[in-house]
Amino acid sequence: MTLIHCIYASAASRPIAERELQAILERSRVNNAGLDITGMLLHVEGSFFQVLEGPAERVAALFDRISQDERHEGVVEIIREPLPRRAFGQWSMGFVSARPPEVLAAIGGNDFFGARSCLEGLDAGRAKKLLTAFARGRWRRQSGSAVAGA
Amino acid sequence: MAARPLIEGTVLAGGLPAFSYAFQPIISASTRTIHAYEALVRGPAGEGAGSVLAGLDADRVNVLDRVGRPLAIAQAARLGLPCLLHLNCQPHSLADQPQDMAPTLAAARAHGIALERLVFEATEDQAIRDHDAFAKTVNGYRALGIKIAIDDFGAGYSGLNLLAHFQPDIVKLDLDLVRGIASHGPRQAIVQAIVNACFDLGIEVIAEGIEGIEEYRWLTGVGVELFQGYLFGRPGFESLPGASFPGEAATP
Repeated sequence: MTLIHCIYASAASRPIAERELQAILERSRVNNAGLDITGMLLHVEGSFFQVLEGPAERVAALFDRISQDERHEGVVEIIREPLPRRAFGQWSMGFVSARPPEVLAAIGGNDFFGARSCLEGLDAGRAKKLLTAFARGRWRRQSGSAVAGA
Repeated sequence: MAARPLIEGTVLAGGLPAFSYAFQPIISASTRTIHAYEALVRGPAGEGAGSVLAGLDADRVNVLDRVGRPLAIAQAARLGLPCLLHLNCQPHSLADQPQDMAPTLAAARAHGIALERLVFEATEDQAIRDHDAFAKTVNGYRALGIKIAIDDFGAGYSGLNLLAHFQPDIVKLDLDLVRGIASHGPRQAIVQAIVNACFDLGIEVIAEGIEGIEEYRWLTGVGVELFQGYLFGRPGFESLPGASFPGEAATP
């Protein structure tokens, strides 16, 4: 089956505590491992950016389900396309919650979050370029709601 | 570094004239390195592409396209290609007759050029004839790791609308859009819009045909990172020439 990635942005529909985010992530990691899906979730000031990569039909089904989740809104599919190889193959779902300058520093090769961050050593492909655009304010809600406990 | 001429004699099977390749650098402004070379068809003694293509009917242009790419890959490999290689593709090969690409893929494997180092250049016209069919075919190559560049972007009637249907890896700004841009308001507005859309979609922009430092400065100012043109280096016949980097405005 064709390997694809689907990359989208969205906004928290209400403030989400980091603890709640962690719980969502734990569940998605277990589910994704069984589906051969990998990727990452980036949280910046109330906006989300997620990369889902895996077999085309499973990624499509997962994205459909995610789109229905009421904990976020304004879901925008940025790109869905075939991939020669995964960018986050080691991550059932990597997660970073940070401010834009920190994200840009990490993408730029500064090991801001340490070597165990999913932003570390990213190869120069679409995911990295879109992450850069997101960190610079594209695809983000301009007046993002605050995240409790962030 | 000299390369053995690719093709001896004057006429090839299939009625093709003898031909060879020149390679022109595409440079990165921020790293001041050569990012890629574009293979450009030439006559056997370095004559311009026109001298090879003149008098060829459409069928023979397609044959040249099919048999030429493997030769360009072989020659670039022999010259020690250290970066990406851009290859022009006729619509016939790219979209209509995908089996025409088999020799190209085989040549890359035979010469140790990873498919991730190949960039297929297609014109905007090719892409807009049938968006969905084009995207489907081309995405097959992308799944192999080959990158797709849309050449002469902004020259046709489609322009940015193309990006609603298909998001290439790279667009090459049409020469006419870039010429004299430092003092031309409408071109600046259009190029700024293209650059913004490409940034949002993770598409790299190459400005080609750059001859003046003013054009280069304006384009780096709006974030264009990759350049091709006489300002940096002319095509080198059967060689991978070095490039020169303008002194100012090239540092990040």
